[in-house]
Amino acid sequence: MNQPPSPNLEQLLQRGDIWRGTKAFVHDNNGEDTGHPALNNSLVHNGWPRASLIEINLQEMGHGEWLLLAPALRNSIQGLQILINPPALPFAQGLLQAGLDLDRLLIINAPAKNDFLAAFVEIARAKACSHLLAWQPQQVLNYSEIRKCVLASNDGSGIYWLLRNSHTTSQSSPAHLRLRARIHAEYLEVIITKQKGGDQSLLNNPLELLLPREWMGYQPHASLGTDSEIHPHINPTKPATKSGKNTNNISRLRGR
Amino acid sequence: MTNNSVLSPPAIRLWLAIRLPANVSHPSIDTSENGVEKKLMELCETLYQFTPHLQIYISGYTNANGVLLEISRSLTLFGGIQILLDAIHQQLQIQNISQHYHHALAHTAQAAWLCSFLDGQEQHVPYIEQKIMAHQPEQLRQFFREQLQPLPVTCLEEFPRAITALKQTGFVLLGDIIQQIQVSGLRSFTKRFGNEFSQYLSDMLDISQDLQQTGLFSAPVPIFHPEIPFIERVDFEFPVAQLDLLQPGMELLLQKLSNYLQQRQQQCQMVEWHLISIYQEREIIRVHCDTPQQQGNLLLDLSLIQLEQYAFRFAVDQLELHCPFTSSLQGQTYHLDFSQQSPNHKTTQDFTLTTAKLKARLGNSAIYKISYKDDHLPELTNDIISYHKTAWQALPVLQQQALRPKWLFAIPQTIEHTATGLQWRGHLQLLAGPERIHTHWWDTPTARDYFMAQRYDGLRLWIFKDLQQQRWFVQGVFC
Repeated sequence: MNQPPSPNLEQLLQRGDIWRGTKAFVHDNNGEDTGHPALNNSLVHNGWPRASLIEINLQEMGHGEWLLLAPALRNSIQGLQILINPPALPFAQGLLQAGLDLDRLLIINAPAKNDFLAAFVEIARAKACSHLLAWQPQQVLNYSEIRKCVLASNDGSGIYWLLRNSHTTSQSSPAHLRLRARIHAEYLEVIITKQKGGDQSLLNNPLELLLPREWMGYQPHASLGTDSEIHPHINPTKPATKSGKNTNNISRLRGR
Repeated sequence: MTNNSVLSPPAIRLWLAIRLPANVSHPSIDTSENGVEKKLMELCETLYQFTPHLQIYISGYTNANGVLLEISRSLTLFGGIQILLDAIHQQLQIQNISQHYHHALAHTAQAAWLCSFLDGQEQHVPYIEQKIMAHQPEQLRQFFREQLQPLPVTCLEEFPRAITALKQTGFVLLGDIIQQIQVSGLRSFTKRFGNEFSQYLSDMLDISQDLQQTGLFSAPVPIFHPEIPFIERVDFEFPVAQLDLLQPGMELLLQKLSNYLQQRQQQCQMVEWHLISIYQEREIIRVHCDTPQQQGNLLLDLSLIQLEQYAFRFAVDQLELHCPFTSSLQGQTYHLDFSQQSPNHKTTQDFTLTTAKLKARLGNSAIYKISYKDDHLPELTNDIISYHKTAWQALPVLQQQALRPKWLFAIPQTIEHTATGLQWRGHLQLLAGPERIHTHWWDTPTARDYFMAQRYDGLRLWIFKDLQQQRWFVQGVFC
């Protein structure tokens, strides 16, 4: 019986999943723009890798998950965007302001770990799903359970994010890409802790992503009037932006 | 050619109208049109043993309703009109409506229905039977037309405008109309009252619309199709209590169901599994599906998911598959998509299967969408809708400009207001605001001042001060 000829080095190097030290052969079309140029530059595919599991470790709900992921969701033109076990109810007004399409946004509650895994696997394998945001259930997933999610992600063609608590950062994970995000007063800090096929020297370098301008605080109304007793502890001297320009829109809010 | 030939149609049709009074066919518990229709369909299924030519009649203007039977083809089988009528009466007695119904015979369905409003119809049965036995269709037609003559024109209740006009023109009885038709044909009626009315008259009297004679080509008599539910069973060689052993039987039954549905161009949304023990104990498991199915693949997957969580109370000796409700196959249309941009049918179908499986595992309420709803109170603007409904996404300009978080707490969480300031899992500092929302003065007056606050760790929160309670709450998280 004839055995197939063993591949030569050149053929092996054509494969995308062989680690090549600091330089990886990259299929450019396998990445989707993150919407953050600094983050794109640090990722192997110049964006979120498709058909791979991306693990994001957050200290708590609200530490930049939508800031990080909303641009990719906004830029996608087709496919369903599915949220499994979101930590709170997504607010329609906020999501519409961010330019997301509510008609393509589905929410699934699967609090039990078995149900979560079944839902993740089913959805990742469904061609209709382009983006999946899955929050780990109460029961922490172990290595082999995350491995199931990885295999299911490989079968799909979308972008699959698994959001876990930052306590799990120290644990080993089979995810293709691992990030840690944390919000600060002035910026969102993102640290890549693992990236298959990526430049290892880029790991653990904090990236600072800008926060929306309106989050930096307006000129507080306390400084405009004398009702500081009614609304205590508004920082009257906090600058609105680094340039010092006031972005006060309180008058606009009041005008309504 | 003899009149008894199997192939030739009978020389005259004989319609039996069974009219149910409104108070009987409209029981107090269900007076809707659907309820009446369902009851009449049940009656049709009962009367199907006498003739396959049945149709229901529900008046759109009065409460009158009933069933019309074409019985000319059943007379030989049952041995005559009187015997057949007695058998029908007996059957209706079983149905507990024998005391209330009116019946009449005529050569057309319309004429029979109108004759049911006349008294003493039973006494004409021997005469009709005699004429049928003697093969005298023309005389019988004439007899039925004479029967119709004393009826007032108001009995043509389906044509209220025509009734008014007929009265104004001097037509009082149906006899006046019949006389007019005999003199000058139907054309004058067509011209004055329209095609629909003259068609009704020609159908009622069984005459051609153009010629003043019996219709040359009679319309086919409708055939009633009773609903036959799908029930199939497999017997296991030995009682089984494991899903793996049950699965081949389930596959076989679902294959039979698929064939059954394909042959009839039907589809179904629900099946019932009946698990039966050797002692004839029975457990019923219902499997529902969002979209109607003709193939059994999805139903098998859903059944397996449901049975995975099922604790077998007894070993199953027999397995039955019931499909009590089916609907006719719906034609599905899809937009032509030359650009290949939108998800194709296969992808949609693929996700339909996924959601059906998820719903079977997680329950119906576990999958949903959110939609915007026009209201002033933030928590009331977030509407949870079924995932196959379309979300409302038109955000008013006012809301587009306002600061809004992406997470919302359905129930606002209390903030401690201490001497050091506001505390919610850490110290809070107000960044922007206030935005006053003062609304619902018509039911529960609400006044709130909304702010964006920053916690010590950088987390941005959407908080408000309830101006009536003078307390602070967190309602959302910016992220």
